[in-house]
Order: sequence, then structure tokens, then C-alpha cells
Amino acid sequence: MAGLIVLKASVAIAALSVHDVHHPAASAALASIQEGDEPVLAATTRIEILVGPQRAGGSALQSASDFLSGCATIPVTAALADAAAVLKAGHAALSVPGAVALAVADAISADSVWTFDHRWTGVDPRVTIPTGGSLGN
Amino acid sequence: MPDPVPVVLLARLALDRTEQRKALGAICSWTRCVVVCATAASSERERWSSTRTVRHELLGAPPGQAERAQRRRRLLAAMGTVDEGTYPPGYLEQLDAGWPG
Repeated sequence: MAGLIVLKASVAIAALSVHDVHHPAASAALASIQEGDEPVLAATTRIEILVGPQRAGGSALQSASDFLSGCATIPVTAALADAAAVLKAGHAALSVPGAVALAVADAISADSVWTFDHRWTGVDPRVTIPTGGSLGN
Repeated sequence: MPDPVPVVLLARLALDRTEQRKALGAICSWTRCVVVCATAASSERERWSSTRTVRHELLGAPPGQAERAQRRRRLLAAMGTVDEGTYPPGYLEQLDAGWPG
């Protein structure tokens, strides 16, 4: 069982966009989420997901809003920002939103972190690349 | 003396002393307010020692079963409904370029 699952923007965007190369894997992974599991987003990840739909408007924005309503969003507190800065300082390949997402994973004791960015696999053992099969720790 | 007014400092203003002097001088001359610097209070740091407490505070109360099921249905229904123009190739890289690393 996956429990609390922190989603990075790459997974959410792949799930939303049928044209994304990772769409099948992201959709299958999210469809496999069990009753007791909860997808979680950092507030910064929510921004990344929403910018495109905000530009597009209309049905794209509605779809993104519907998707986001199925995820808990974690606010970025001062302590979370401090933790993200530590992560970012130690891993140059991490983006700032990525560091925040990993800090969120630590803060809530997440069971897994889903992303399509392979650079993350060496940063945290909970990082999982969705492949369409069963996921979790 | 007016009440203190919180002011959000963006990174450049928080780190660059020259910009600070210019901007804070302008703020004070306009509004005569007191600039409040946000720092992580010791009490907030202490809360992080209890993972369970933080988990609850950040996530809030868990939604009921019916609400959770409804949210899940909306999330699943939204999948695959956004066209290519919404997230063009290189979308995330372009966004991240605004966060110089």
C-alpha cells in the first residue's frame, strides 16, 4: 500500500495530458491508488500544474481544477522552506519546486514520491518512477 | 506610532543590502510602517520534532469516505482531457528556468 503519495508536477501533467509520452504510465499509476491512499502536492507543485491551464483557460483549467481537487495541497511554511533550502544546497540537480516537494515528503512522512525525473532516484529512496504497474514502498 | 504592517520581501530584496536600503527607505517614507522579517520561530521548529503533529497540521483533517471517493472520481475523470497546447514540450523546464539554480 502506498499511503501518502507526493506527486511531482511531471506525473500530474502526464496524467492530464493525453499527448504526454508518460500519459499511460501516469494514468495507470493513479488509477491504481487504493482507497486508503492519498495523493499529496506541495503548493509549489500546484503552481507548476496550474500555469499552463491558466493560460489556456476554459476546459483545460476545469480539468486541472478537477484533478487538483483530488489531491491534498501542503502549504510552504518557513520551516518547510528551510528544509527545502538544505536539500537544494546538497543537490544541484534539484529544482526549487523539486526541493520543496521532497521537503514536503519528509514533513508528512510520505510513503512515496512519484516523478518522471530520473535524477531524483538517487536523492531519496522513496522516489518512484511510475511504470504503469503496482507502485508503493 | 502606527501599527506594524507585515511586508513580504522577495529574495533580491532580502539578500541585497543596497536594494534593501533603497526599498526599505521608500517603504518607511511612504507608510511609516515597521518592517517585519519573517523567520522560523523556535516554537515552529519544535513542532517539527513531532512528525505526527506536523502531518496532521499540514494535511488537515482527513476527508470523509464519501468526499474522498468523489474527489477521486473527479481526479480520474480529468486524466487525459487536456490538449497538447496546455503543456507544450519543455513546459516544466521553461517554468524552472525562472528559479535560477
